[in-house]
Amino acid sequence: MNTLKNFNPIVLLIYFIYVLFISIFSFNPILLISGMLGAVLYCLVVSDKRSLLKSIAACIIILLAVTITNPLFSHNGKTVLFFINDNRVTLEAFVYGAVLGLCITEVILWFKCFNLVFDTERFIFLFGKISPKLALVLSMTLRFIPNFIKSFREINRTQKLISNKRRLKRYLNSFSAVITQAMENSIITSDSMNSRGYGSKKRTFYSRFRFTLSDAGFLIITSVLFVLSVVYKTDFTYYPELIFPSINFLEALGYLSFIILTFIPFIYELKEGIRWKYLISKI
Amino acid sequence: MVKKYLKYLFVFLLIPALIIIGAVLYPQRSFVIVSAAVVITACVPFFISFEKNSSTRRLVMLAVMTALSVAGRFIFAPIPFFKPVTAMVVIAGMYFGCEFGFLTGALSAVISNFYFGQGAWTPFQMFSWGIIGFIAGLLSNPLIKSKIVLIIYGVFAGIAYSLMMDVWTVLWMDGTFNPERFIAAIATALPVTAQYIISNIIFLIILEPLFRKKIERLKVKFGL
Amino acid sequence: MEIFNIENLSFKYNKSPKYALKNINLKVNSGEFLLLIGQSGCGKTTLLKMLKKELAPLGEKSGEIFYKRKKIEDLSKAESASEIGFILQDPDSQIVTDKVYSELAFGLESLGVDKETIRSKTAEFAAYFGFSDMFDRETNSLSGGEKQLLNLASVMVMNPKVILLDEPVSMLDPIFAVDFIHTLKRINDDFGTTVIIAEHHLSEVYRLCDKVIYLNNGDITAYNSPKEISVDLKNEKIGKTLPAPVRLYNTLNSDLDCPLSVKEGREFLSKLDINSNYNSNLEIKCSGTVLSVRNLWFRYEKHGRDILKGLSLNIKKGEIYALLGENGCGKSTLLNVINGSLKAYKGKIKHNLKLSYLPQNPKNVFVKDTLEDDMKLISNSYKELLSEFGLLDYLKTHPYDLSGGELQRAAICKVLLTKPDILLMDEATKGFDNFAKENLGRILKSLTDRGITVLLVTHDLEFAASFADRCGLLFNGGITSEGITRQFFRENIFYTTSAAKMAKEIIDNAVTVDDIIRCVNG
Repeated sequence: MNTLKNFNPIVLLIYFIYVLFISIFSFNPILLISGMLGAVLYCLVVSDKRSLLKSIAACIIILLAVTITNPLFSHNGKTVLFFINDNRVTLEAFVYGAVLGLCITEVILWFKCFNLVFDTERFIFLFGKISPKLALVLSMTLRFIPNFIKSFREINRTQKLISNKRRLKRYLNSFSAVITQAMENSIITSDSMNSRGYGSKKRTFYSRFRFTLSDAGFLIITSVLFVLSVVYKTDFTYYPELIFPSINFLEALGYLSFIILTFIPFIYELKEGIRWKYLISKI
Repeated sequence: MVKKYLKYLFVFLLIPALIIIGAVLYPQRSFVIVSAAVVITACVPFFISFEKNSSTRRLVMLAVMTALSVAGRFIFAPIPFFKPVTAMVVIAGMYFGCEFGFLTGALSAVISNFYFGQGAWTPFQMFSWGIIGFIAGLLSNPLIKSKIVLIIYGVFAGIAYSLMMDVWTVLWMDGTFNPERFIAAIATALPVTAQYIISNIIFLIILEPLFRKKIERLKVKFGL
Repeated sequence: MEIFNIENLSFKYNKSPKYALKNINLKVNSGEFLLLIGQSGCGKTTLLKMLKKELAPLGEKSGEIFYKRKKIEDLSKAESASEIGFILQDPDSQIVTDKVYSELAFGLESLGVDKETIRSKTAEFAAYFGFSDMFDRETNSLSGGEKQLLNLASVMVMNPKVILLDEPVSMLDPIFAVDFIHTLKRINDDFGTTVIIAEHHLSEVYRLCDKVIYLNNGDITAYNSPKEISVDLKNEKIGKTLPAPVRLYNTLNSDLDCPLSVKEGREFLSKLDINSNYNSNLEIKCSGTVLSVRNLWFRYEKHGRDILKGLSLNIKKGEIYALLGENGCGKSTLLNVINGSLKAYKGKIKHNLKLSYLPQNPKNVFVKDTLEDDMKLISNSYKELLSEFGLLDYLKTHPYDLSGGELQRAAICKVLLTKPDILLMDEATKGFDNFAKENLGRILKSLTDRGITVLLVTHDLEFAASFADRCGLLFNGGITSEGITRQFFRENIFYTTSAAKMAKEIIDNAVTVDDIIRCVNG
């Protein structure tokens, strides 16, 4: 079950921009770890466990690789650990590498969440808000792709039976036939569009999504959390030396805001899950 | 009316606002912010001009070319080295013009990522393929006339695509342009770049004459 | 009230020397259901397209077309789009978007209608056309019949006053075709929408329409109600393509009322003096099995359902075997298992001869830009065969530019170059009019004379009844009934030709109109 999808895609897009914006630009390990946890927990609820395990494994490899290799590219930093070929290898570079690794993996995980929420229909909706015509092109393209692949398979199968050309030659011949058929059929498609008034007036865009009260609530809550976590942010300095800022009340508020922000999908999903179970037990 | 303005407000104010806020708040990472913003806003004028003027046939053709380039990726998957996307984008640009080339490239990136997963790289992929299509549109005459120019452009497109994606990787990792990491990135990407170049050349040589014939046929048969 | 008024309309295509339409005069009243018939190339499509401004072909035009007393050129784009709906032949390429609901919304979006209105209109028409459960399905996942119904629904959403249809059911399976025509009739009755339909599959539409227009070489040769026009078309070539009861009536010179449906046909027959038995030979012409299939099991996915369940089949040398069955029963799958494209997980296929295969869409046989190049892909000695099939003039033609019948012939030619002993054909008659079908039937007969065995799967009962030696019915993954064609159709009640339905219990053994005619005394 993925109940987060029920929100308006624009509201969701803004939410993802908030999280990714802070994740990419803050470079704050505490926020990054919180973000990773939030993403992993959400994926745990809505996606299958195997693909999540795969992503986590990939993330660990990337994290290690970036941490270890960063000192090779970056020789800044005060605390020299040792030298390789007269190049300084510094503690600061290692730490920066680790945070960079966290940042990359966190963003990967959040895009995994993004892909779980944004299916083609929601994407088309977003495009439709900017340009109804491009949304139409996207929708048409998404129809054409499986069509073309299917007709390629049919042509290729037929060609395999009647001609003894080698595979590559046959593939190219069949692809060529797909192109011809695609272009001829496109004339029929444009006739059909014209006859249904395409271009007669300024096009509107219909989608099944509405902006509801709960969307407004979601938008306001996430916006407040975003602003709080940006205004009361804490900066870590890595070069030339590591400076970890101390935390007072307002900074703690900033941290808390971002932690809540990243846990929202998980909490929401959990809440809906519990409510659903409760409803079923009543039936 | 308010709604309409709100839409443009979103595009024209929110994105620059984010850039400025980002650059002020996170000075260490300003390069990343600026590059991301440039890439995203670069697409907007193309989208707007397409929204304003495009005939039905052009619109359908854009969908067909984009779909062919993405479908080609699936169709030729069993054959190693064969990735026709860039070649298709170049062909779209040289036969249908700059704007068309850019859009074919940008949309191919978005749509193929529907199948392979969207990521932080999506806008950069959109931009890189878009620019390749755009330049193909500018060079349309020499590309159509000379096979050699076409092959050179195929090589160029392969390298350019790789370099653009590497620049982005490096900027993201270091916050500034780090030449050492850039060279390392190029080196690790070398086999992939070589693959791009080879498949670009093969596809341009094979597909370009096919398209030439088919487009001519379309012109004769349907009077386009 | 008249909705269309066509005055002295003539039209000539730019490159063509002769007129496609000659001095057409026609008044169409609001709410009429008109059927446009004529051989392919007679100008049906041209006439329909002239009525729709956006689709009007380029060329020399004289005369005027008025829509509600307004010149058709003076209609605004939006007016023409919303008031005059158009459905084309190909169900697939007409669909624009990827989702059913967005396809329904397409026309209204183009007309700039606001979101809330679109929401209620699409919901309303989805319910009317039975798309409620498919509202968010992918358009690709629909069957051909559902696609064409969706096209009709997407036009009806705009509430048109008239719908023009250019051979809308010729690519559909018979059951869907009948459904579509009935839906059209229902729209006509429910909303008073004017319908003008060009079609060569006449079985249902002919008896349901108000008036029939016969177009011959760009000229309206006859225009009358179905019953009346039947007699007028008696001596025309088109008369052979009319529904079975009408053909029967026309051959018999009776002064009774012309029957249009099977029911009326039976009444008509019962009033005649007839032999109650048609003497036919039920001998099997061929012997010796060339292809045998034993206990075949097949499924597409590991955990999917079985498509073929222990199917067995014997094909004899030199026969035409027609495999019939509903849409999606596995006929095409069976052909693909036999030709080796798909692998059965259990069972045996035995043959030691060369197989060849002709797909449902004959375009898929061709991959080059001229017919000649395509033939050369197989063999260089193609000229003789092409001339035999009357295609020598088309050597330099692009295969896709051939007409449906020519394309099918060319495809057979290309396949014959591989020197097959057994030819597998998938839905060979799709989109054909009766003349093209007869032509194909003759070609198939001539192939069997060369010793080639033909196994074809088809929906087309009339075609199978006229040309197959044996028929089999595929149902639920197996062959449920099989026999010599005549016997097969005589014993089936629903799955049989309309002639057999008319003759049932009146004349034994008659399965075609010709059979019945031979039994009428006098």
